Amino acid sequence: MGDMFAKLLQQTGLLQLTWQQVLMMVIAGVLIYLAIEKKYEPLLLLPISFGMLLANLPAAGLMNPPGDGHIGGLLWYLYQGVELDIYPPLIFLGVGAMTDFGPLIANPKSILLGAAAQFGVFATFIGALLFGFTAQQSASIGIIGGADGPTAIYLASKLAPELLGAIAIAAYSYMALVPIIQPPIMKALTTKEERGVVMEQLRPVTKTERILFPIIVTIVGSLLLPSAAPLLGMLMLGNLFRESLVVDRLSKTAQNELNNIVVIFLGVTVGATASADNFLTSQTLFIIALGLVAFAVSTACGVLLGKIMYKLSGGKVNPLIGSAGVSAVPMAARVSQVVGQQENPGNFLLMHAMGPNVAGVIGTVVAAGVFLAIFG
Amino acid sequence: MWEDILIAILGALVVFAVLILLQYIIEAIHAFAGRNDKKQQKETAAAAPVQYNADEDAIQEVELEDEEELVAVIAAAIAASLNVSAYDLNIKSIKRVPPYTPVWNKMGRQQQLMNRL
Repeated sequence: MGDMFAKLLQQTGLLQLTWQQVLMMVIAGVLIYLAIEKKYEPLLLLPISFGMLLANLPAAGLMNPPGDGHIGGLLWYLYQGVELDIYPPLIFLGVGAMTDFGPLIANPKSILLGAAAQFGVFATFIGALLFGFTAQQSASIGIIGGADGPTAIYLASKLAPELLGAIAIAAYSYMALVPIIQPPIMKALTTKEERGVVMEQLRPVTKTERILFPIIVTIVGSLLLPSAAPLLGMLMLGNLFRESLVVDRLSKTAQNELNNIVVIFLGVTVGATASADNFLTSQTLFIIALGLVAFAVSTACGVLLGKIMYKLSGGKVNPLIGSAGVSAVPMAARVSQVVGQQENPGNFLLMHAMGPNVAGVIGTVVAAGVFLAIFG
Repeated sequence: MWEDILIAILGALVVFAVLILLQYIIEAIHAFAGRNDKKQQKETAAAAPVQYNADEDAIQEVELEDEEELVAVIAAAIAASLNVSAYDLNIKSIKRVPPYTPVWNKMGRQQQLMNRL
């Protein structure tokens, strides 16, 4: 009888629980709290943090690969979508269907601001190398500065899968913190006069332009950087669904149902990569610190190029839209709008900031493509 | 280390080069297809309702109940803006255009309004 009880006890996870796993569950609990109470990107942070919780349950083996007579854990199978780079491009399909490239097409110069905001990616790449990360790991950490979750996951799963959990959590946490991180940098770098600039209204964009844009960008972008083709291609396909106006159903599915399903799978499994032995290292702290640097540098470079454009255009460009070059859509653009309005309540920068904002998405994809071409 | 710095600089340059190229492509598309805005937009507006009807489903039917009310509101609005009586108006058709503005855009606008309330 006592023997059977001992056996049963061994079957439970209780005896196998390590303090590291308990700590991870506490961290997961904190993230769940942030997602629910503070609403930090809850759509992603909630599945990610719960995935973290699940992966750290001892003996449950949700992330175990098949073998030794076991069929493998549920999350391991779902994780194949991350491992094989299926989920991030599908998310991009939804992002494309949700994104209006109109402001970018109307003001093509704003694309430069989206490029400038990628400097943080490359600066952090160097920074991470200095901290002793490998080149592949540094590239994956740097891309946090692009503020684009799916791209960060895509690159990290290819170049540094061991850091995936930490990178995803850092990327999404900072995206949620955009309204807190960006305004001080924006205000420090601009003068009162610059912040008050009212920009000319954007010209209307024709339907033909809207349809040609995704097609041509796909062709040109993929020819130049084939490694970026999966992300860029799906982004533009989603956008074509939207702009063609003939496949409303597909467009809506890509934006809603499909996107939501993929977000669940992606979030849970990315969180599940954060097992105690992977996550509880000094590297994680460095990643979180470097991610913040990446974000700040990207914001600053965007604003600085905005200032240059302000000078060159004779005061027609408001430098505040530069910070929207980090691709956290549409949060970064809203921050530009809010900071601009603090200076001049009648100023509406939102649509102007959307140009750099969507350009930032393309810019981050291109940056990821460059890293993949070099290190992939 | 120098090699890595070189990679970073090269990477940043490639990003810039590709996006500048895109800028020119957008301008080229505009030169090619950006003309006769008005005609294009009218076409869009006319073509859209057809497509919308094709996709008609249960939701649309539910909305039908309010249609008379909607027509009355539109008629009143036109009458008010033209400064004539609604009886003098003869509305032949009202076409629904699919929403162009993305959800976040609407949200932003709503937020603006709420801030001013």
